[in-house]
Amino acid sequence: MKHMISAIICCFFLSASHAFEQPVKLPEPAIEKLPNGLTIAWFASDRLPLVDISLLVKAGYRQDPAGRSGVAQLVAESIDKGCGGKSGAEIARTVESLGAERYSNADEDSFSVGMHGLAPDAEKLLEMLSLIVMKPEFPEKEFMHEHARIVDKWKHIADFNDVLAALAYDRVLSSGTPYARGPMLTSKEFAAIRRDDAVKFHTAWFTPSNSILMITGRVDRVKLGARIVELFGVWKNPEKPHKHSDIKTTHGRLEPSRGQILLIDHPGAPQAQMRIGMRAPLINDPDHYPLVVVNALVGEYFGSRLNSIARDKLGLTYAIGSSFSYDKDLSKFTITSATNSSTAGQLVSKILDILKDLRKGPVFEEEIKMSKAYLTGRFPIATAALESVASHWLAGMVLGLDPGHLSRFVASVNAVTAKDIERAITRHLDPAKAVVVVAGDAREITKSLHEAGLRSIKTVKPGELLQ
Amino acid sequence: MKKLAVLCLCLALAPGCKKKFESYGVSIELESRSLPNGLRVIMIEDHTMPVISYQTWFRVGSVDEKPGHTGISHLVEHMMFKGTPKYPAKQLFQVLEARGANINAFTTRDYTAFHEEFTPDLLPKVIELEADRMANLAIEEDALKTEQMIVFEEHRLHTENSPVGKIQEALWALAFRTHPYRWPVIGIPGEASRIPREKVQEWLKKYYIPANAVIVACGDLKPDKTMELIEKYYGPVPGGSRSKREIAPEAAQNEERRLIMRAKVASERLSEAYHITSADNDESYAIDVLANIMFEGTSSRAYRRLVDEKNIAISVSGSSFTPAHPGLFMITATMNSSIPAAAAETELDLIIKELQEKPVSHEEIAAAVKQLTLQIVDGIRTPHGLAQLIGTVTAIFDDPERFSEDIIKYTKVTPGDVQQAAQKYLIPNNRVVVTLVPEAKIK
Repeated sequence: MKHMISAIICCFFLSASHAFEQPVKLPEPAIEKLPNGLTIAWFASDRLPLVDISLLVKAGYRQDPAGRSGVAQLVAESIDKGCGGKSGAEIARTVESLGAERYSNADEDSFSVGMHGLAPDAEKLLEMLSLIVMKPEFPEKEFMHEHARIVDKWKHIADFNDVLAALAYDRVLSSGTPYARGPMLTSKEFAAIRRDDAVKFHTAWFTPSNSILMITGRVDRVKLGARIVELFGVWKNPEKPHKHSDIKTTHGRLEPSRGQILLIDHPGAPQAQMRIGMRAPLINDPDHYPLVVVNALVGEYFGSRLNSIARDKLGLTYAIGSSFSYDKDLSKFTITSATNSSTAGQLVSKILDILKDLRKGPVFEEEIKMSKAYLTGRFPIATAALESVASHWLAGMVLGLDPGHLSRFVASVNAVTAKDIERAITRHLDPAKAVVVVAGDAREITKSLHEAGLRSIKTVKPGELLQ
Repeated sequence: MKKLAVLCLCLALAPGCKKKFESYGVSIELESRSLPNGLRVIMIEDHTMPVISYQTWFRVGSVDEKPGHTGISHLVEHMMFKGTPKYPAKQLFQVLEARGANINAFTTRDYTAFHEEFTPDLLPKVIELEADRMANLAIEEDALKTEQMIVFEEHRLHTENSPVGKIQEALWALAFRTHPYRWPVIGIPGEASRIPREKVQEWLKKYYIPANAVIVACGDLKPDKTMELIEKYYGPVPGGSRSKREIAPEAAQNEERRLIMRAKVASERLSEAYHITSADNDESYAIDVLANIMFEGTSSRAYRRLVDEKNIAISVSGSSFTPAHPGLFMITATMNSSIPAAAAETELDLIIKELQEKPVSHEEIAAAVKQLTLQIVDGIRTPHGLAQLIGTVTAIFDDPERFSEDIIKYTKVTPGDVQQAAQKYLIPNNRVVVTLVPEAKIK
């Protein structure tokens, strides 16, 4: 719960797997609902003296207002900088004097604010959380301080090639969707954000009927439950629910044409970071489980195709893998790797060949069997810790999945057939539609791409990603 | 000494020694056993999750290497996945991954660990495979060459391609002149690529043997049944003899050392390291508390001063690293826009001066101790985390129970202890400073 929901979604839905034919019985939360609509989910366990209390709000970057992308990010950074008459420093001191950690993260579809600490401090942490989520004041000085800090952090993105590659890739794949603006569209839009924007965002989305309070760990449910009613029962919904219209921005200037490689120039960088992939069906698509099986055999485990060929056979890279990531209305299939600039062309070419081979087929029965066994075998491991089940449950709520989806994972994977896989690959994994983004030293990488016969390249500067 | 005596007595009287530890609402029962070939086994039975973590710890790391073959321990870690005559290359993965197991390994300066996480039905196979590769690992020339290329890329990924990695590598190299901590675990760039197969085999035979290993198995297992399997598969493996570590200590540093590096970064980065003590010195508890007071959370002294009040850095962090040999108290700050790293240095010096002149409050210590307690409890949420804790203390202290008194020892730290630690260690002549300066502005 301490991490962003998107990260939870990735490791959960991408990696979950298992070895049982029988339906897996997972812990289920005890659910309560306050009269104001606040959902409370209890994942109680006495195993360790820990507690995690988090509030999930169903709004994220996607809900940034027009011309103000970056508000959600800024709210995440400044929401605890003054609340209910206490200064940000007082809040920090109170929580940290308990040895606890507080967190506040936004992602594409959701926002989570929470406290993680030792079980005896649960009530105090709950009180602090209630102040932060219900009574943030966004003091002008602190707000502008965080504003400036975010601007400065964004200036550092070019320090890291992998961040550049990931940002450019996300920009291209989400272009034209409600997610195209990401955490921040342009420096100019961000510069225009004022305190009032944060207040409006909070008022619109931080409401009891749009939130889930989740408690995980060693707690006295009766006692803490009574405090929840006292603290959160008075939280009111706005008279008129906020109406949101999606904003669908495009990234025409960045978008490569079909077959063109997008190269982010970072002169002097010794390595080329790459992202190769395409849009994928949503998590509730009938082809979801066949694609989960395909992903595993393509790039999830050490014996997968990508790892066997690019790493073990050719020694081109230290790390390579594939994954699906899911937002509510956009999914992506992504291959991630890095190599020496001089071998970038060879690696891109090999990855595209692997995708072409996958499309051409066949996918061997042995591979399918291995992939399914891997996925079903990993499921009990991925869901062993209560915190993990709780995170998965919450991620499912954001994506609109029914609460029983996790328990059906094993059976759904086991039901996948070779025919399902062939159909899913044909429908969704077309290498001709693959977006290829490489970040690194453009001069060296261009030479390497040319040597590999990859001549259609669009080169941009890191600064263009935020213009 | 007392604790070791208790452990020895238990081993002499019974086939295994069971010991239960209860602290801060956490209960852990360790069962220690050993084989005649010297293999040590620590088991923790915990049926709350249908998962087992099985870890094999070898007391070998980059501290055991010599210039010319630095990075060999890490290279052997990679080669351990290359197969044996019975289970050729990739079969280890195929056999275990086909059942969903997580498999991986890591190498540090002081030890190397191989770990698997899996469902209980896989335990016999894991034990068989681990014993097989301990006894029969094959080092093929072609596979070695490929792994050397991969290690080269790993170094590029984590160090050359990362300002953080670059600065860290330089910091250790500057801090240590004679001690083997001066080179990175992955080796001096280029050296690992030139290590011949014979040297790798020699290293393997010397260190990756039962007498130099500890197995830590934690989770949904039965100790007697587990031990039967361990005896069956590891029993015939020749134990060898454990090499004595004879490493000359680093001479005391009597002058400040500085290095300026240039890279394509957006702003200056500061990294400082002060020589401190090793894990077996109880001063390390006060140093941990000191580090938390300075750096943990946004109410810490350094964050408040550098980020909130002075607004000169976008981040500042620090921690004490006390491994088997004397380690480092490390500080890192990323500067705000064009503000020079010297500004952070000045503020950090002032904070240190305050800590040296005036004792910290009991409240600050209490908060730091709770933070450290939370970190410890968080670390053992999964069988993997608990096994890693036991493996670490066994590899460093040769004592699996060493973790048990950590929280108590933290609670005994006084303001005077923290002040003394700051006065003794955080002095300019005892530090190295690395500054990373932007080469050019990135547009």
